[in-house]
Amino acid sequence: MDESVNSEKAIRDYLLGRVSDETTREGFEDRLFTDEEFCSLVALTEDGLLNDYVLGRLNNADAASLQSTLANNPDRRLKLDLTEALRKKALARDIKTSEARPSFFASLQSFFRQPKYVAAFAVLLVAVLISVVYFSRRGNPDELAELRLIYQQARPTETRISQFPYAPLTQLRGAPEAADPNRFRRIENNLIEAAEKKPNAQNHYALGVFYLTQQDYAKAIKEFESALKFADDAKIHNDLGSTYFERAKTKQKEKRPEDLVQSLEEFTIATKLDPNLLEALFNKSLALQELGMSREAKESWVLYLQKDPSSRWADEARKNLSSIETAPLSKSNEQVLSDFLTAYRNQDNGAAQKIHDDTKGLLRDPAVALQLSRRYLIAKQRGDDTDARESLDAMALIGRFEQAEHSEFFFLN
Amino acid sequence: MRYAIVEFFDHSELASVRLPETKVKKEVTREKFASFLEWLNPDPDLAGEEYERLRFRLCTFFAQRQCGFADELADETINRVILKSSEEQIENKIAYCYGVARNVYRESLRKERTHLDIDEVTIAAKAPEEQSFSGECLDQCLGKLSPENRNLLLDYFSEAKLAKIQLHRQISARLEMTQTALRMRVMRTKQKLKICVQECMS
Repeated sequence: MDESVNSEKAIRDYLLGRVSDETTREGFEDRLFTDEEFCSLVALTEDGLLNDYVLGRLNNADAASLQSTLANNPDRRLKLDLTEALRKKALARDIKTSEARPSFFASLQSFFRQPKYVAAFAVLLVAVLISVVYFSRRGNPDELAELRLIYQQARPTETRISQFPYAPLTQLRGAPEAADPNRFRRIENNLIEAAEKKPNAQNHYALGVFYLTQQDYAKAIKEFESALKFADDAKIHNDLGSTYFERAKTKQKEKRPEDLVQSLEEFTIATKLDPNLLEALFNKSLALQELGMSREAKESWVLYLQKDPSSRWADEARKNLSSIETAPLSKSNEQVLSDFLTAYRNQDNGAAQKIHDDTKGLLRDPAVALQLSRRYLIAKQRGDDTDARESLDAMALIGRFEQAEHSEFFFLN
Repeated sequence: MRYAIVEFFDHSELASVRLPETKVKKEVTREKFASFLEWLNPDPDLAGEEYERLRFRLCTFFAQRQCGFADELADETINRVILKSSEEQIENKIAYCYGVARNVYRESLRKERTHLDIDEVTIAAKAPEEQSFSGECLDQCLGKLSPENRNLLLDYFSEAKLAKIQLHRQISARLEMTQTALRMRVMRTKQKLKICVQECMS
């Protein structure tokens, strides 16, 4: 099938006399006489052109082209006359209808003259008022309440979602189990409808929370960002931070820091906006811990426990604090570097690589590569060529580890 | 002008029909035309539709080839086919009509002259004013449509309702049809109306 003659646009051009190429024109004619469907489409397109012309929907160029075709096509002229006459009839009918229609107040007066209608109206008014109150209260809060109910036995995220009660964390792999997909679909539809009908902070936020619980992080971020355009609210920042944090966990270790830093920023904003928002404080501590900022994480957990010493969230906070205090990375940065250099000097590549692997991550202070680069700069400043040379050679070794393990050339450049 | 179409929708007086000035005009009789319709389709209703469709094809063909009188050339084509179809078996009817139309077109090109002899020029009388579509015939034909189709047409072209952007969507939703189906229905209803009005005006 020749697409060049098949589209409605191409047919319009043909009917407007814009096809001058003989081969193309013959293509249209062949189809017109051999293909019933195409013939119907041409007739429909011509009728559409005439309707559009009469209804003033054609642009000037198309209208002029159509007019120029009328002189040698009396059949089309006739159709156009008929369409214009129909349009006049329709307009005349509209005018008659509007003249015949009683005014609003006259209708109202006659309506209230009849007692049974007054009574019915009163009942209707009460029903409307109840509906208004109901519908103004329902929507997002109800859907969020339902979500909290669904996750009361096991929470969907490691971080705390604002106003979700405590529930132990279940380690999920992939998308959450669709125990009742219809229920989730209904919640989602209601939330989408609410956000479309009334786009405000509350509705976008609620939809964002839904997507966060469903691990649809891209949509959640979009909704939270939409909500923030309406209100700079601590809860929204907190849950946006949660989304980044949870998304980071789905990524490879090397690619996590970007989202984790973003989440930390959001939690920090949330705690500044509302220093008593426990969810944000809890989450900030988690983010610091995940980023390997042990000292800051420890301080943050201590602060959290001062504000929330007895809840079940506090129990988790204590566990996290304890894990930081007992972690091997509680070694000082100097100790980490010293251990690495010892392994390097002893040509114990296995031990050196392990220390590097345990500490790598550009945001972690103990990162050996970071410490080596600092050591190199300080040595150069001091004029200590031996230490500078050794730092460079040690970094080259890390480069070789990365190249061998991950085809990563960053440290070799 | 429109011998065939008027003949089809008004079988009363062949003599009153203005026949196109074609060389085969005199040979086309009412019987031959009836046979032609039957040749197009044995079902009289479907034959009418086939005929309208053929005429649309021919008018479009000649008009898009910038022929001065597309409808007359369409009539000339139909008349030739009427005569031929009564004489011999034709397998592919529409393709045959297409072939005849191409011949008529080529002949019309040969007849075109760049210079006219002053003696051949005659001044045409003023054409009779065409009856307005908004007149009696239109009212009469609208009255013959079903109330549903009449309202559909008037709604479709209504200003007040056009103000509502969704008008045509609403109509199609109300009638439970797609917008293309709605356009098709409007086109067909207009086509019926056109035929009725032509008949009324003749």
